[in-house]
Amino acid sequence: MDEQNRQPYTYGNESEQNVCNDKHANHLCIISLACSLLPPIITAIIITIVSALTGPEYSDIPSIIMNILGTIDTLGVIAGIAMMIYVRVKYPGNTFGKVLMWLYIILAALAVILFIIYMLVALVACISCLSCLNDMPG
Amino acid sequence: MTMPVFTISPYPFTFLASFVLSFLIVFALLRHQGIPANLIGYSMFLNIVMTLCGAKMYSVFTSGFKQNILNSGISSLGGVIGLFAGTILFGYIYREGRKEFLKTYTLVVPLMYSIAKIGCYLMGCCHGIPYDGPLCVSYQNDLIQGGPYFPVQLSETVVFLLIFLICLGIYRSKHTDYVVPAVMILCAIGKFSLEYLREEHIGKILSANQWVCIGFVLWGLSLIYQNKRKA
Repeated sequence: MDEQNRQPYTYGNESEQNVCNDKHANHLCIISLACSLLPPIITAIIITIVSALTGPEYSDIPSIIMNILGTIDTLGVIAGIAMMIYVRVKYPGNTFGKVLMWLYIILAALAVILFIIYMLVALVACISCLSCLNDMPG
Repeated sequence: MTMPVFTISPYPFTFLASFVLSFLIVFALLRHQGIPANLIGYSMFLNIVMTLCGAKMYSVFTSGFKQNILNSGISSLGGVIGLFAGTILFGYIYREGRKEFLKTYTLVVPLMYSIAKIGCYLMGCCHGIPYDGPLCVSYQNDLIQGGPYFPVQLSETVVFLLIFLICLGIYRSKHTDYVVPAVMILCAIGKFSLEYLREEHIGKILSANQWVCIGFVLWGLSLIYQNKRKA
């Protein structure tokens, strides 16, 4: 086989390899999303079912179970982020991986902004409370 | 000395300062080793999440799941475990730079801890045993009203800053492979010893933190043994 005939075959192989890699990366991205989203959804469903069974207040749910579920949710988020980073390192050209990365970054930024807002609200509440106490007669 | 009452909690600021300063050092050292900036960024993202989750989850586990991830306190030792776990996990993802990442992130652990402890000193959590000598400190805030106490948090800041400087010297020397075990052993010895000066340790032989420290010393010694066998 001369060089000219061999080239298209090689390109075809590379392209197949890329498609295969892309598929694998997309599967990993889906697993990453599932790891991050499924545990909180399952937790919410469990809370809804248990509160429907026990009444409107779900304080009857043993807190230890809630705390274990919360820990599993956190572990799921960690697994999701780790999987996304794996895709970004191993398959840097994958579009789903890039979108997922920005999704996680935006979610992290939102969490930080919400935390700052929470701190500011707490500060304003504290200052108002203190000034109210200072203004009290006697 | 009575610590002034802070309208805004200093915790977020010291926590943020510890992350920013340490990660700037990590970035500079890893870039100096020729690691691409995007890979350093991914590792930092993973480590920030792992450190925060580790800090919270350690409190959840040590409370026997009586607390949850939202209302639990932040444990600095848990944060360190989270950072190690994140670095090891990233080492499995990016095997080529595994050693460099582990060495560099481990190096900044005492610095992070040192800065984070300033917040504890200002607020009075994890305070020391009753003591009325030089540098004793009293607190009159929402968290704690009492004292005078031994400034154990300030001692931790100084001790861990010294450990960081010693290990930075090892990192820059030709014995760079000993950075990880040196940090582990020195930090564990420092933390183990200073635990005896904490009020919550009174009446205990070994606290949960000290058991973790023993684990770190054993891990560090096994790493030294491995390094010696390779040499």
